[in-house]
Amino acid sequence: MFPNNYLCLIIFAPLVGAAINWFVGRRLRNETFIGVVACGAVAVSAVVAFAIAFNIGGGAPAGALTGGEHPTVIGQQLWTWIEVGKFRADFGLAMDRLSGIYVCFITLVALLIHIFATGYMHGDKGFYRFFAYLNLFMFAMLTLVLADNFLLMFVGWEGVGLCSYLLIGFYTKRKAAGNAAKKAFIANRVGDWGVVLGIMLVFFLTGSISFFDKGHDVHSALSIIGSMTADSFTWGALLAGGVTSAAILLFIGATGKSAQIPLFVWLPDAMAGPTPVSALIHAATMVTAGVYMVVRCSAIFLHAPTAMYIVAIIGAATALFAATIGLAQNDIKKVLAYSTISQLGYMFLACGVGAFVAAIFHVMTHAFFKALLFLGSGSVIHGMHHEQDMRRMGGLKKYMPITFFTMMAGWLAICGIVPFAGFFSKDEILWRTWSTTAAGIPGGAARFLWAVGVLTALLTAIYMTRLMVMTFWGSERFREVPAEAHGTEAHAHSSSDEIHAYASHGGHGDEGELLHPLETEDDEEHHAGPITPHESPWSMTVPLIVLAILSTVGGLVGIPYALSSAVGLKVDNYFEETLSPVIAAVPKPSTAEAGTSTTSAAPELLSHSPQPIDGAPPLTVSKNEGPELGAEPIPNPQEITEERLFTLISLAIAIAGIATGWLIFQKRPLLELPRILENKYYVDEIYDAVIIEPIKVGSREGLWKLFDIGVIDGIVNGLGRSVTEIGGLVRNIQVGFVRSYAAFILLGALAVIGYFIVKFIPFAR
Amino acid sequence: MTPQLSWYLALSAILFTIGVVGVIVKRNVISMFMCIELMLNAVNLSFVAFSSFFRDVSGQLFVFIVMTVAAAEAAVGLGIIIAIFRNRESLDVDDANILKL
Repeated sequence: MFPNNYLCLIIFAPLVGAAINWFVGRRLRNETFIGVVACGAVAVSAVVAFAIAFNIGGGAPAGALTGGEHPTVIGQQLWTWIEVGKFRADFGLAMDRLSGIYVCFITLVALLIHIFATGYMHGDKGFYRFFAYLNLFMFAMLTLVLADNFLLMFVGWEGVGLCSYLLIGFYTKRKAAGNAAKKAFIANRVGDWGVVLGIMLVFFLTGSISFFDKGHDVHSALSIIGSMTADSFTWGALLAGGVTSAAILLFIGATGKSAQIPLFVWLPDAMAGPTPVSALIHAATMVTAGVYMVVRCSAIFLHAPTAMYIVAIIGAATALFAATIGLAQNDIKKVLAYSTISQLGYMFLACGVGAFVAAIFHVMTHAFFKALLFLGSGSVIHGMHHEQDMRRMGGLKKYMPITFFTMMAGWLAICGIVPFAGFFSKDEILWRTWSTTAAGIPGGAARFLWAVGVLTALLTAIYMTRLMVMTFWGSERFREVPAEAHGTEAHAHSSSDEIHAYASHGGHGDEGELLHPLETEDDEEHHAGPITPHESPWSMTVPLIVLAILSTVGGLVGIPYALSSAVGLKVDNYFEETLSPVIAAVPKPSTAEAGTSTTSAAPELLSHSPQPIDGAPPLTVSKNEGPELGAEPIPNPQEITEERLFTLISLAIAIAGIATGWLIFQKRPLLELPRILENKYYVDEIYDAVIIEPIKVGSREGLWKLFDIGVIDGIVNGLGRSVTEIGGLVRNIQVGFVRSYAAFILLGALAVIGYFIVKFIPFAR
Repeated sequence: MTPQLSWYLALSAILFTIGVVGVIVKRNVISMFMCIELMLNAVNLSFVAFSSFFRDVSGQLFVFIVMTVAAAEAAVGLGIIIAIFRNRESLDVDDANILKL
């Protein structure tokens, strides 16, 4: 681990920004100041992160993301946080290739979203509060990613949960937002229970919670598990308290944070928060924390084939399930929310079949195009004066050309059209699913998972086309007078007068011209008549453009060999080559492990092998012989042909999806879809009936009326009552007559004397 | 016939019983007070008798202590009785039944 004292700047810059905005910004109430502080803090993080990751400015032998086959781990030990007996948790940061990729795209996307938010949140009373929370979120997220042990990662894990809660409930005057915030927080608590138990189990199994070997008796829990014998594929292993149990407990946490079945219900509701929050937290960064943890713990998961199988099944099921729901939603943000859940399902599918690199690749491209789509939807919502219902949009491409073209890029990227970013990552996942060699997944199941993935890809293309068609093409439905007054849920955060003023004469005339001449101040104020959309200010469109570029070219870092060789380039998959050293190698099946000692298993974890602290190239480690996951040698031609075939299949699927969506929704944009889809399979209602209501009834009837009133109150009241009753008996003696007291004294004395007579004088018996 | 120890003790017991019965039966505070003194002196009698018969002077020392205490008690008791009489215009203990003056 190579020390670098600037690493802590990445996490502390946003924390300082949050503090400044909270303590100073709230007094100044100056949007320029607050915006500059918030964006500046994230910019510092981004610059430092990229500098360390790519070793700009030198110092280290290689950056975290450079250096070819010899990965460098950049670390900074700040202080020892807890040390009790064998248990030791450091406040230490470490950037290896996995966290390096995460930190880079998080800071980059977050910077763009912060800039966007300065435009989107303009005029809001809670401007300082919003950016303080957002910066605090950045601190927590970066702590999560850069932590060098499980416990510190969990601190970040909880921190992002808290900030998510604060930001979902940002519009404190809306009841729905508060409820959504609580729902998110509680659903995440359910998952966190799994994480805590998982961490405890990892410590129990290995005696360490560190991710890395750090010298001074701090060993990497992951490499210790990596040198163990893999669990066999049995369902009993889930409860056996071994590696499989640890893996499944950690995965429970991942389902909470990353919105997988069965804990996904909070994410659609989380759209009650401001749109930049949805883009940053609930699409690009926080929800991928579960994927990060699973990939970070790849050593644990690869030793738990049963858990891997479950991860793959949950991932595939979530992908398909959420995609079908997304098909029928009418709220533009809800569609994107279900789309996010669906894409997260893809990532877990990839993890489950052992394609951890593909999962991270999809995390990165997804961060680009989903942030773009969310920000685009934010721009649409902003331009439509806080209208979120796609049924009241249509034909917007004339009014919002920049938003339209940038969202086109995001749309094509998520659908998987070559050469947009989503194409490469999604194709990679589908191919890896088909050709998985992960232990425990039967061949037939892999085919089935692939089929689910392809079906999801088709649905994804259809619902995204529906979203685009309903929003940007077709008739201008916002001119029709709405059936019910639709100012109810709008106007939560800003006075639209200010937005209008800003947009129309804010120093960008061409956008002002886009405003329809019919638009009057009355329309703005009363929000009753038809509204006219307008393009957003530059602070919102510039991030859109940058993200559109990233969504277009971002996938090129991970072109698989099979495709690059098809066009004659013959380069290896750069992304995979970079990342694969930090992924644990597939352990040998437990049956074959019988004869081999632990020495042969030790170097399997390439990045966790001991590295000299002076930064010299790490000890040579033997490459795994098999072609499974290591930086792949050139695969055989048959496999290449097969992979190309599958690429064509996924491309065909994407085009078919877009064509279907186009044909259906271009003609009938308001097509009624099955109610069961629109109502999200009644999952919320089922959870209400099966879990929440029994808990409420049980709490009210059992805990409150029976236990609290009966037992607790019964004990307290019973004590009081019995004291009163005994007192009532005793008071009869206290009549107040001196002579009766004297008589009692006499009786008492006689009793004592009588006792001694009976006891000590033998003849009295 | 020389006096036996049992004679003194019997007299002491009789005096003590008279005192006890008097305390319980009498309503007049002064009478009750005198009965208490009677009990004390009955005990004094038995002390002196034991002291004389066992040739041990410590019994007589006890008597002095009891007499001292009795004197102090008489002073306090009479003070209380006067205070009660001033308030109640009565020396009947059954009138003084509310635990305060």
